[in-house]
This record gives sequence, structure tokens and C-alpha cells, in this order.
Amino acid sequence: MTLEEDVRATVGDLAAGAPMAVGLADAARRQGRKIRRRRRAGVAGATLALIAVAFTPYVLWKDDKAPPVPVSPTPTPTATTTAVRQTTAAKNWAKAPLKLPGGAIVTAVTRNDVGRDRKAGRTLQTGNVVLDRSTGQYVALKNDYYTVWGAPARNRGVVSDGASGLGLIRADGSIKWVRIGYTLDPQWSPDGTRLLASTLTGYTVFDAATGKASRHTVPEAMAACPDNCFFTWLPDGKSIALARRDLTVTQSEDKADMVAEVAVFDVATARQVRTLPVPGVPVSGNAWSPDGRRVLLETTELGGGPGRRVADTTTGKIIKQIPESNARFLPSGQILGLTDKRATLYDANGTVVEVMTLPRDFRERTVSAGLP
Amino acid sequence: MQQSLEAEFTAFVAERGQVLLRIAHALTGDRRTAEDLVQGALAKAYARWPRIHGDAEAYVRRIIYNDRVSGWRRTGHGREVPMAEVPDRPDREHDVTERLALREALLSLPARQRAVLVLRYLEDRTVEETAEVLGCRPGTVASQTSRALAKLREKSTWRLEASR
Repeated sequence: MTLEEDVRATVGDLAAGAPMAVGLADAARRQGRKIRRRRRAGVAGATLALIAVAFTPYVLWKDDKAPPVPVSPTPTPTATTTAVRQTTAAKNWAKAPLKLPGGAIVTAVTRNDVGRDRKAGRTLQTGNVVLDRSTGQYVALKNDYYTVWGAPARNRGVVSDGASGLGLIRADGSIKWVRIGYTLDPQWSPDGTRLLASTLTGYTVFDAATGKASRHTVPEAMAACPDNCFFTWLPDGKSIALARRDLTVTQSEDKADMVAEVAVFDVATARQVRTLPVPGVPVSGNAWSPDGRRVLLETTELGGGPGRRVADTTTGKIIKQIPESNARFLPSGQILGLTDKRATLYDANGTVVEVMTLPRDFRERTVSAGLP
Repeated sequence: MQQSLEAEFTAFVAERGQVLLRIAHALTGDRRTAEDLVQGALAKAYARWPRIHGDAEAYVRRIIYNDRVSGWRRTGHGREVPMAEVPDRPDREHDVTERLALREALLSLPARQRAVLVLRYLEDRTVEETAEVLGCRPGTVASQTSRALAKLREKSTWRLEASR
């Protein structure tokens, strides 16, 4: 045996002596939550310091201060919500596209219990479900996936198993896997024909029908990216946006990155075309209003705490906070917020218009919304 | 954290936890230290999960290696090295003695050199991949590997020769 072969064998022996992985996730989760608590304490301290500075810019102060509307599971009734329309979704939801407030429909329902001890659900009531647009009926995916994101139009959806990249669901239900190096939530183009995936050095655009990829690198933009680092489509389907952190603030494992602005790129050329004074990370999926005047932002907590902020894209002012984390703009300019129990329609300023009770089957799953 | 992300984290640890512990044990030679190393890396990953979950394993591995290297710097080299028990099979005595000598020499290497060897010989990473994980240049990986092997040869030779 050569020395290198001996080293290989010895390192293997050492590895084989590792203890069994028992309770690792729970222990790491407890420790991870402590890190987050320290981070939140840091953010609170920074807020007090900012308040003490009289000339602090309004937008910055607004960003760090507690949002004006407390986040709660359901909207708090106010004078303006007395006329809120209350509706209930059809119980027999699987046989036809389920209509949501604002003219949207349910395009997919994804499991939330991946990694639990119980067996993965494979039925319409328990599994990952997508709308088959050719039949108008919902189908349960046969295999187990982490997540399914329903296509907003035309196509069925895309899946992730946490290892193989992204799986495009073909019209016949089979999966075409597209390997990419790095992915957060893939972003469907507004017309449902392309997928935008953020990579370590930029982004890749896939044709949802063929899987053909167009890869782009924007290393400077990625280097300035905040904690949640992903591109989102603008409503024109030609531009994409990426938040940029405040480079004057030192990054820390214990604090959320401060977002300075949002950069807009031409998706075809990867050239930056403009910046917007938006003080947060645009949310995953249809973050921008059709007229571009409003954007839905994640909250200031690292990883996005519960709720979404509605911001004015010209002034950066936060107009309202809504309680749903799963929220999107509709072509009408209204906002649709989704939980596993309710679909809530808001106007562009975040005022509740309609609340729909969703089928009980959706409990503990995440709903994707799209257009008929 | 969103429920789906919580589930992803649980699934990730269930699927990859043992592999990560193997790496950590090869780096530390100590069960408790290996568990602490992996748990600390997973905690950092959990705190940043929404950002890194798409490439969680690379993120956690990088933390494990870098925490180990920086931790070693803080604590110095005077750490006790646990030794395996010698099996009582006479026909394998020679191999076992060689292996134990090499193991002892391996665990006495500076942390960065050991990390390079674990990446190269346990994980079968290329020089370029090793450099990326450790945040250094490929040339540094090559030189560290060379130095580490030279030290192992030097430190384990007398035992190997004595056993022949």
C-alpha cells in the first residue's frame, strides 16, 4: 500500500467511528433559534439607536420600526372591513379549477410535512397536488417531493426534491429534471412559460416546456445580495429584480441584512437598467403590482417573519403590512393572501376586500395561485 | 420559519446528518467534539435556512471545515488525541499497528492540513473543490497536501519500521 492509500484507509476508519446521528435536528434547531433571538435583540437595539438620531431618514426609520399593523392570523375588523365579503370555497374542489377571490384559481397544493416520521401523502387530500389544465382537474403527484410550485398559467408546475435540481412537470405528468447549482424558490414568469432560478453567481431562465436554459452571471449583484437572495420577475416579463444590501453595514450571522435598494435587470442581457428605493426583499412570486407602483416585501426578520409589507416603489414608504406570508399581486392590482385556511383579497393599499374559507383538505399544505 | 422550510430542515438533517458526522469525526477524532461541530454548523444553517436551503449541504460542510480550522487556532495544538483499542487478532496486528500509527500522526497534524486530507481522501474532492470549501487557492491546497503527507511519512515511519 502506498502512503496515500494508507491515508485514505485511515481517514475512512476515523469517519467510521462517528457517533450515530440522534436528535441532531432538534438540538440544532434550539441553538439556531438562540442565534435568531440574539439577532432580533440586535435589531431592536439598532432601532432604539435610530430613533435617538433626530435626522434619521424617514424610510430607514420606518423600515426598522415595528410595522404599523400587528400581524395576526386573520385581519382585524375595522371600519373599512365591515363591508368585507365572506365566501366559502367549493367543497368538491378536485373536479374543477378552484376559484379564489380576485379571479385567481388554485394551481397547486404542496405538502408541508416533508421530513416528518409519518408516511408521505400521495392523495389529493394529503399529497402534492397540481392542476391538470388539459382536464381542468387536480391530480396528486405519485412521487415524494419537497415542494411543488404551481404554474401561474399554461403549464402544470415545478417540483423540488432537495437534491436533483428542479423538476418540470410535463403535460403527461412525467418529470423533466433540470440540474442547477443553487436554488431558492423558482420564479414563474408572469405568463407561466419560463422559470427563473437564482444561482450562486447570477440566474438561469428555463423554458418550462423544453427545459432549455439560458444562464447569466452577475457576480457584483450577487455579492451585494442580502440574506434572502433571489431574483423576481417584474410584471413585464422582460425585467427581473434583486435586492441589494446596505454595503456600509457590516454583515453578521446574528442580524438580518439591511436592504438599501432593489436593482432591476434586463433578463435577456443581465444588464442593470435602474434601481428602486425599495427597503426590503421582494417576495417570491408576483411581488410587483401590474403598474409597478407597489411591491410586496418580506418583513425585516431574517428569513422573512410572518406577514408581508406593501411598499410604494417610488418613495420606498411602507404602506401596510398584511398577515399572510404567502401573498401575490393579481393582474387587477389587488393582493391575494393565502394561508391553509383562508384566501384574503386586499386592494393595492392592503385593505381587506374579501375573505374566502378554503377547503379543510388544504390544512397543513401550501396553496399556489394562478390564473384560469 | 415557514412550516415547509422547517420540514425541509428536518429532512435534510435526517438524510445528511450521518455523513456530516463522519466528516466531523474524521476531522476531530473525538465523538463529542464531532457532535458539537456538526450541531453548531446545523444551528447556523437553521438560522439562515431560508437563504441557504437550496445548497444547504455545501453551506454546512463549509462551516464544519472552517469552524474546525478556526477552532483549532483558538485552542492550540495541545489537545489529547483519543486512540482506538488495538484488536487482538494476531494476523492483522501489523496492519492495525500501521493504521494506529498513521491515525495518531494524522490527528497531530495542524487542522488545516487535516481538513485538506479529509476533503481529498475521504470526500474525494478535487484540488479546486477543496480550495473552494476552505476558501483558499488551489495552489495552497496542493502545498498543504504535500506538507501533510511528508509529515505523516516522517511521523509514522519509525513506528512502521519498528513493526516490521
